[in-house]
Formats: sequence, C-alpha cells, structure tokens
Amino acid sequence: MSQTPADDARLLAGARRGEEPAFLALYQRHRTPVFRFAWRFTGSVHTAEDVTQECFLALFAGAAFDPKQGSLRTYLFGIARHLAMRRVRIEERESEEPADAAAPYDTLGDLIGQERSAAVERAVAALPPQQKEALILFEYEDFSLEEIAQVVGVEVGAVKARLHRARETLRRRLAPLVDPVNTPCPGRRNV
Amino acid sequence: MEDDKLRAVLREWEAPEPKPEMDARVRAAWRASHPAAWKRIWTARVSVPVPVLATLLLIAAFLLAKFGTPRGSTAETPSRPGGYVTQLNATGFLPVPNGEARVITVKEVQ
Repeated sequence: MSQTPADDARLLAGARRGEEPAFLALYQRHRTPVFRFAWRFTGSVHTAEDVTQECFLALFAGAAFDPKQGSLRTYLFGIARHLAMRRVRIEERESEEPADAAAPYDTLGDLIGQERSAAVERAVAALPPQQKEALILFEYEDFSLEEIAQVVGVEVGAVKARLHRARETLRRRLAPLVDPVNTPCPGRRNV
Repeated sequence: MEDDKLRAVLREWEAPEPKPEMDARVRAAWRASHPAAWKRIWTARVSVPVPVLATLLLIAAFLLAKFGTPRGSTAETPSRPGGYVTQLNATGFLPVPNGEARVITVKEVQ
C-alpha cells in the first residue's frame, strides 16, 4: 500500500468532513505506531489506548495540521508525545504494571526471553523522558533525526545529544544481556 | 557494546498489538463527534442575533394580521342535550340601506 503525504492530507480532509471511510483508512494506517510509541513511553496499555484515542480525536477535531511543515506522521507523533508526557506527569507511572508482567512462562526459553525483554523495558523506562522519547522514536519507530527534531520541537543537534546520552546509559545497563560472561560482577572478587 | 549489539538487545522488547476494543472505542468516539447528516438535522442549532429575531417576529405578526384574518365568519352554538345544532352563516349578508325597512306581507312573499 502506498502511503504518501498527499494521501494523508486527502484522507484527513475527508474525515474532517465527516466521511467515515476516510477516518477509518487514516486511523488504520497510523494507529499501531502511535499506540506502540505511547505504550513504550508510558508503560501502560490503558494509558496508551487513551493517548491514541485522544490523539486521533484531536486530529479530526481540527488540530492545525499544515502539510507544508511536515508529514502527518510527524504531526501525529507530536500530538501523541505531548499527550503521553502529560499523562506520565499526572500519573507518575504508578497506576499499572506492564500488561505482560504476570504472563506465565511456558519454557525456560520463554522465561529467559521475558526476563530479557523486561530488563530492556526497565532500562528504557528509567531514562529521562526527553532521552526516552528520542530513543523510542529512533530505535523503534525508525524516525530520522530531522523527523524527531520536528516531533519534539528542538534542533537536530539536541536530538543527537539526547540519543547519545541514552545509548551510553543503556550500554552500561544492558551490558549483562549481551555479554554476561565478560561483564564484571559487582560481588565477585578477583583472585 | 557496539551500536548494532545494543540495537539487537533493544529489539527484544516488543510492543503489544492494539486491541480491537480500542478500535471500537475510537470509532464510537469519532461517530459521536461526527453524527450522520440526518441526525445532525435534529440536533442542529442556529444562532440568531436578538435584533434579527425581533425583526422577523414583527414581520410575521404583520403578515398574520394582514392575511391571516378569515373572510367569512360562522358562529356555531354549542350543542344542546336535544341533539340539534344551529348555524348562523353571515356570508353575503347586506344590511338594509339607510335603515329603510319595509314591512311586507306573507302574500307578497308568496
């Protein structure tokens, strides 16, 4: 399926006129990335669903999207990022555990996989919000540095710096997952 | 750790797919904010400035006074327990000119 900014603009105009097929097409096209971003940023399925809903309703209610200033994707993520930031500030991430935290482990492989995934989640969640959003957009949603700068509203240089700091932190925290043998154990004495 | 290795580790954290319940909720919210055209008619609101509304009411009252009066009048007496109704139809009634009444006998009428 070809997805061009012109398509998005045409569908958005139709949806704002009340055409449900246009709304559905646009929603289906962008809902999963927006939901994924909100989930990774907030750590809560419930909050991510709320953010996704509010994001699309704000868009269709007439938020001022200008195709000349960027794609609809970056615009949508700008709204989602704003809503998610606000939610995180309000809820302080205290309301809900991750959805798969209580999932049963079938095999040792599952157990290890789940633990590794949870470790990555914890490491990313512990990042400062500005580094976290830059990392999620770059690593998981394949945004370019310029697009992230547009979403976040800062210079490209600032995005680079945030990404660099986030990666440095994650390299330290996630080192045991990549090379557990050579990772120094804090409790082990050198003989 | 190199960037590729870090990236591979990061990709182990997979996000869930959005649930169908969310889709239904978003669709319902959109429909609520964009009702069908035939539904909009019943809930549509029109904002009219008071001076305009007052002018329209005055024009309506004037038109009603001018064209709304019935030409003929029919008085109907209430029905009585006996079951008959008396109707007085004044259509085409002409009063006697200058009050010049003339007494005629039954023979003249016949």
